[in-house]
Amino acid sequence: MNNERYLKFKKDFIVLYLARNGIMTFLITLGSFGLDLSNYYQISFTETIPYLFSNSIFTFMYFCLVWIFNYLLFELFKILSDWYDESHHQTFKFMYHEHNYSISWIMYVVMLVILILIQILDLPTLFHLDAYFMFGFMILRSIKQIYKKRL
Amino acid sequence: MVVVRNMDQKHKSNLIITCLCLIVVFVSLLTMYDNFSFHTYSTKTYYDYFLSLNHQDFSLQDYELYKDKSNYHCGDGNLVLGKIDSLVDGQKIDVIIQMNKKYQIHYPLQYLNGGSYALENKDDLSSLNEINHVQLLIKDENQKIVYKHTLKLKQVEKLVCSSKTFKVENACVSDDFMRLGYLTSTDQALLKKYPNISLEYRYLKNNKLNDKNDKNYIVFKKVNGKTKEIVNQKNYQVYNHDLNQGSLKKKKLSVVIILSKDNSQKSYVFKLNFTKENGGLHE
Repeated sequence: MNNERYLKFKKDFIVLYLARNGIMTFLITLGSFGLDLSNYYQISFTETIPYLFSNSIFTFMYFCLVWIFNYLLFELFKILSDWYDESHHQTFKFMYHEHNYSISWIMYVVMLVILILIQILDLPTLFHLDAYFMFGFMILRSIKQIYKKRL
Repeated sequence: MVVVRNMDQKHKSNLIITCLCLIVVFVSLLTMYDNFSFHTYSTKTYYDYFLSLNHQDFSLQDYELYKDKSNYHCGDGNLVLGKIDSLVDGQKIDVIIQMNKKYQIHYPLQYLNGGSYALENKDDLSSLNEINHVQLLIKDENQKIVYKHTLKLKQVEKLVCSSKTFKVENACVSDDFMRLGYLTSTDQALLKKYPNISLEYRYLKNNKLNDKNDKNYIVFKKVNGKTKEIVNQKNYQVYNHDLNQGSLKKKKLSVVIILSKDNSQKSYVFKLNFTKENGGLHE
């Protein structure tokens, strides 16, 4: 009896786990839109959230588009970094607490270059905020991978 | 690419699909950005209130406080004075509207018990960006305060009105007053083609009538002019309504926009309906 309930709970949790990337990118998009609007209209962050969803269909449509864009960007990053990790070029290896860690540093260099490029281009504030959040998320994921692949 | 050849099949197919989807979404983001920013980033309104007072025999109505990035309006209200024991009729008084406990607007008047005064628009405080406490003070000739009371800040009922490329911003309505708002648009080609524009603000005679029939409407305000002087310019205009015709707030409002060329029969006409704002920004 208890086993069944445990299995059902695990199944429900797995759905959330599989959707974790979607949920995170949703939160990132919400954060960047919210901060941008609260900066433009000089109101608090919580007041911008109903404005995003019920002001105009075009605002909401664009929000969904940016959410999908963030999700695809993250998937692309996952594919490229997983493939690059397997090839084992240009890594930086070190020992810590009896574990071997290897970091492929080229990923961070590329991210830094793109970040500098974004500062130079005259993009709206919304995309600046979105880029910072997305890069932060990508770095977190790569740190998680480094930890997972330690020997 | 040498680099891609080293990938295994699974990674390669995932990469191609993700890249394709990403390109499609990216192009949509680029093309739809102008429309998104037109509908999302409108004129910032710093404050938008009506002051009201109803204390014993004193009353203040229709005194509007409004400021946005290009317009400022402070006044045009009606004040009725009650009995003040220390004053006699005909005595000179100074009626002061005091904001944020510091900033003052003065109206020098002559006292009359039961007298009604029109307080005109003054731009003394156009640099103020926030209003949170308003009081009415009356001082006599010796600068002694003979009457003091807090004024209520009434929120206005904001209206929204938009289509894909046209929008009327910052319109608001109360029982006998309507701020007409600014017409903005992103359709530059259409605006260039028709140099004249006419806006007809109208309401439905009776809410039970068919709103598709143009004859059921009463046009209460017409704004005519050149397209480039009216569209995307923040011209502040108002309409004062006769309360005997019923409260303006309860009526169905819409605006008919007629774009026309000089000396030509051809014109482009469409209408936009006003609805009460939902999930808007409340100051």
